[in-house]
Amino acid sequence: MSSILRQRVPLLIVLISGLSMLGEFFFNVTEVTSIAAQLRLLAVTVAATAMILAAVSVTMNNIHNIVRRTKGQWPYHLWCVVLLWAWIFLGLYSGPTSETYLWFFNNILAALYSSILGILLFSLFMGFYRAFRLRGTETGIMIACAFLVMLGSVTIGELMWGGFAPVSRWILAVPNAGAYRGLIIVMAIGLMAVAFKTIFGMDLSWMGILRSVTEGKKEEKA
Amino acid sequence: MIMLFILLAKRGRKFELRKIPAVAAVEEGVRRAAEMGRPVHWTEGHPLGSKLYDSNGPYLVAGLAILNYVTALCTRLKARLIVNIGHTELFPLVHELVRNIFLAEGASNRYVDDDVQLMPEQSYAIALVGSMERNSIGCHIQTGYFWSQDEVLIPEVAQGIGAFVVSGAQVDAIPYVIMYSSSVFIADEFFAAAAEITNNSTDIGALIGCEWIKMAAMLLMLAGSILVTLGNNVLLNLTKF
Repeated sequence: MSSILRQRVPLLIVLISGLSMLGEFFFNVTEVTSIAAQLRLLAVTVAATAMILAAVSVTMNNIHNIVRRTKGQWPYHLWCVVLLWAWIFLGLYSGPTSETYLWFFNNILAALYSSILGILLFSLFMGFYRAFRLRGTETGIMIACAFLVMLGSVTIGELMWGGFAPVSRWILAVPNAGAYRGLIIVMAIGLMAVAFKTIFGMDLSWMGILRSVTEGKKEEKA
Repeated sequence: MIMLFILLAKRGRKFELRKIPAVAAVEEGVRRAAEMGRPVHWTEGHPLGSKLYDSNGPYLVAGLAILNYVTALCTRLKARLIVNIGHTELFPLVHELVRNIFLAEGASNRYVDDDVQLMPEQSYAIALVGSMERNSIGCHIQTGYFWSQDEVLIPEVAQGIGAFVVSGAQVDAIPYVIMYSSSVFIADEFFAAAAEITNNSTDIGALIGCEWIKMAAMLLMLAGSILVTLGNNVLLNLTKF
């Protein structure tokens, strides 16, 4: 019974959902389109319901740290739980479109979010510093290309030599676009294979079932 | 094509696979973390960037296959595994996945429920970074679909802590993750990793099928380019059909 509930039922749901979506894309049958639309709606509802899990998970984790009195951290965990539930109750009491709720959202959450994005700038500088160290031929080519593209995009580059802009455009439009499209094509084929294996139950790793690993070992031994 | 090669592989046909450096890097990273006595960390990308039920879902599924491998390695090498995820719809799945592998590997006594955490959606990146710093991770593995803040901020912080970083992401994130990672699953290596990890006939067959589709696509592109240059639009019109 356990294996039916844990393996067969999820596989059947995946098979029906996957085939409905494929059917909707390839055939214009009203029944299939309606089933696919219902399934999409159901997926969104399930994901939205799972938000309750998020609140419970965050609360439980923080409570553990508060109970353990984790040194130097527990007051922050307490503050996190207080804010989380205050936010939830405020939303439930006054509604997510109320002025009070939106004031908190726009003046606290939006500002914090912008600050996080601001940190990215420093991270980018650190990354560029690491990537742009000359270590061999490949990094040399990359630095040369980046140098040409940068000079082609700024005014000073055009003042130095009028050819920087066309060279920069050529690098972006020919080798860069070619490599990018190649990568996109191979990724799309890979995505197709993963979807195929998942829909038809050939890959169970997403369920945490090590069937494939054990099968592999058996095949290796054979 | 994929089905045909899966059947061939299942019937015992042997195919040679090229080794993927990032798969070896995952093991190297986990070993390094285990030796240092520091935890291994895994995540799948910002929940607002992708959903399990949209067109980016297969990235998350492929990421889970790598988590499968990472968890098995952690149980064997006795390294602590911290899994921080942002997708609410993935949470029960990941919880079950990690627990199942700990049970299957006979390490249920080392399984800690709190080590699989769901991060708040809006503050995913910053909550994740905080968790990584507090736990002083030794290896960071991120496989899934990543946004600007995840592909830059998270691996950068991991590098700052001194962690070994392995990434696998969608095409537009690759230039960024290459800058911040010790090793990267480039393009379809991300999907091919499962075949090398499991050495299973289904995965190998699917991979070889994909390689043949790629060859066919390349030949079509070459033939199309030649025909269009010669003024014949037959193949071009066929794609519009």
